[in-house]
Amino acid sequence: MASRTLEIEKMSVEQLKALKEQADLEVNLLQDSLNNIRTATTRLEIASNALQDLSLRPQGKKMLVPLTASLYVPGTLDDADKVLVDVGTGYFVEKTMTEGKDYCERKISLLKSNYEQLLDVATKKKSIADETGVILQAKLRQLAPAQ
Amino acid sequence: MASSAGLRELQRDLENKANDLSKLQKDISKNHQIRKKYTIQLGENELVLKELDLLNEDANVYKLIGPVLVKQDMAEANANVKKRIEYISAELKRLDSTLQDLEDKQNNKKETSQKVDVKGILGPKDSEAATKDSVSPSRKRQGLMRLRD
Repeated sequence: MASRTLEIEKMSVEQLKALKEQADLEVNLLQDSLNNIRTATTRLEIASNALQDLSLRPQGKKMLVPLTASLYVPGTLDDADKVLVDVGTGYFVEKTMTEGKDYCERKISLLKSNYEQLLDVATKKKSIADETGVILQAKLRQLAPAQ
Repeated sequence: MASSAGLRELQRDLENKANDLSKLQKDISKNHQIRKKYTIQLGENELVLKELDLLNEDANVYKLIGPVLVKQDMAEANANVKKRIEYISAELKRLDSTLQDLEDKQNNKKETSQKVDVKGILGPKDSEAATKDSVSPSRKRQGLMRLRD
């Protein structure tokens, strides 16, 4: 950490500017990734809740099935124990209710661990960006009276 | 008069080199975009393969073709995904080698244009571009995160 600060301090204003730009870009990218993970987690949580909800309904239960956002048709619940899970790249797998719930939980925990790892990287990057910004400001201030 | 002609010659030369360099940079960034796409696809396919591996032999697997789900053989689906992973990995390797090539070329070009630079014709603009590039590979090397669920 200390050696890095030293290295940064040795840089010219131009290099610092480039570094700052670069670091900011990376921070933004990581922030976007974090947001994506968060939305994905929310989606999975919604799916998990829906499964939980579905598993509580008895067979033959009457319900309205949404065909579009505003059009519902009546239907009866046939078999709540078999669910189709979208595993990605166009593949769907038939699972039982418990397996389906398990799938959601697994994905959520995977995403959570990824999120934490990424958060770590993002915080480090952010500190580098901030550090560079501070040093750059200091350099510029140093240069200003000389001009 | 002769020196000004030489100067103009040098300037033109430098301009050409700068153009070449920016073209190379464009190619490199295009390469990165394609690579990003493939890396994401690779990650997704690997997730699917892991999921398929967890299943029983007699599990029902469907493939989405257009708007319909078509039932597929477990083995077939497995082979399909594996083939896709293979293809994408090969493609990534190919992209890697072209990238290496482009970066070598870029470095060469930079060196030659810097030699001209030393003669004191063009200063800050070129050196700025050089520092910018010396930072960027670290960003490019940084692995892409798998975001798809």
